[in-house]
Amino acid sequence: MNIKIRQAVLAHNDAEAAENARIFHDRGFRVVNVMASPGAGKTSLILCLIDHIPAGLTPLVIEGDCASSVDADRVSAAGVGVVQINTDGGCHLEAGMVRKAFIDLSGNGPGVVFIENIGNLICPVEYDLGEDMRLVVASVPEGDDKPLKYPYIFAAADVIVLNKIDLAEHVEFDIASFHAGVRAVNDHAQIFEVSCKSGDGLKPLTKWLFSTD
Amino acid sequence: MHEASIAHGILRGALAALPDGKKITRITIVAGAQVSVVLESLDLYFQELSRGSLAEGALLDLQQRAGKLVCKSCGQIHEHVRGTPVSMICKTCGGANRLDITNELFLESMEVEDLQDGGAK
Repeated sequence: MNIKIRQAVLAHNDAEAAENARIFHDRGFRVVNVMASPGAGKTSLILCLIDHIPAGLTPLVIEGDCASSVDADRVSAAGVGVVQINTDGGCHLEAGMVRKAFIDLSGNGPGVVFIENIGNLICPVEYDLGEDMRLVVASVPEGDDKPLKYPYIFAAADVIVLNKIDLAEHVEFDIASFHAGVRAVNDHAQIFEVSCKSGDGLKPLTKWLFSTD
Repeated sequence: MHEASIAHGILRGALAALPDGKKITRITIVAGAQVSVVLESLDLYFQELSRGSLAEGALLDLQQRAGKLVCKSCGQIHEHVRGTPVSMICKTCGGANRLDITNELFLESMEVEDLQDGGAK
């Protein structure tokens, strides 16, 4: 006997993500899900963005890592409210984890919550966290072919930040090829080139990010 | 290893839809081209998680949809086979391709049979 089901496999996560979105917005926060490979500069970028956040907006951070509080310690040292999630080997964040972390964060909006997902270009994209925006960070040392090798995460991005642009000439990174690769999988995402180390390119990014409704 | 979480979602959804007096022998899952799932890994986790339940031993049938490469110039559509490089150049006219992909992941259906000796969900 065959039974039709036609139900999302991740229906439970999707329902929790929808609840997250309601909770985030009720407290006056917009939420950015930051995804990238390990070492691309997610934490550095979040700290740079917080440096440029307009007056009147409260930044909060949810840090996801397999282990340690290294990143949360950096954020906390900058005087920003942060909660660390350790997945103990888990390769992505899920909506339920994020909700528990957000409840532990004090502070009300208007503001922006940056969720730093687990460093991974595959798994995090499957899981809606209730975010308003998906920001994918790529970095120059990883190579210009990443959008073609990991198309699904680049396809899901609302904004793509190419970090460590100051290293491009040293590692023969083909910027035009990177852009072409992104456009092969994603027609709509904004692309910004930045260096968190030198500060180059951050102003256009922050102007766009914090003016987007 | 996100297959563990997906396997849990499959088990949860299938058992919730299971009528009384039946057990599950096969589950069909449909995955869009954007979804990254390795069937062998998914099956490993599913068999472990379903042990002792009315889905124990059920076969997983994963139907992964292909992506489409759509030429931005001539509109010609070519299939993109998962795991192969994304071709940025249209084979027909040499124009620039766009990868058209979907991220749906759902339980399509399941085969069930009568329980011989009762049992709990």
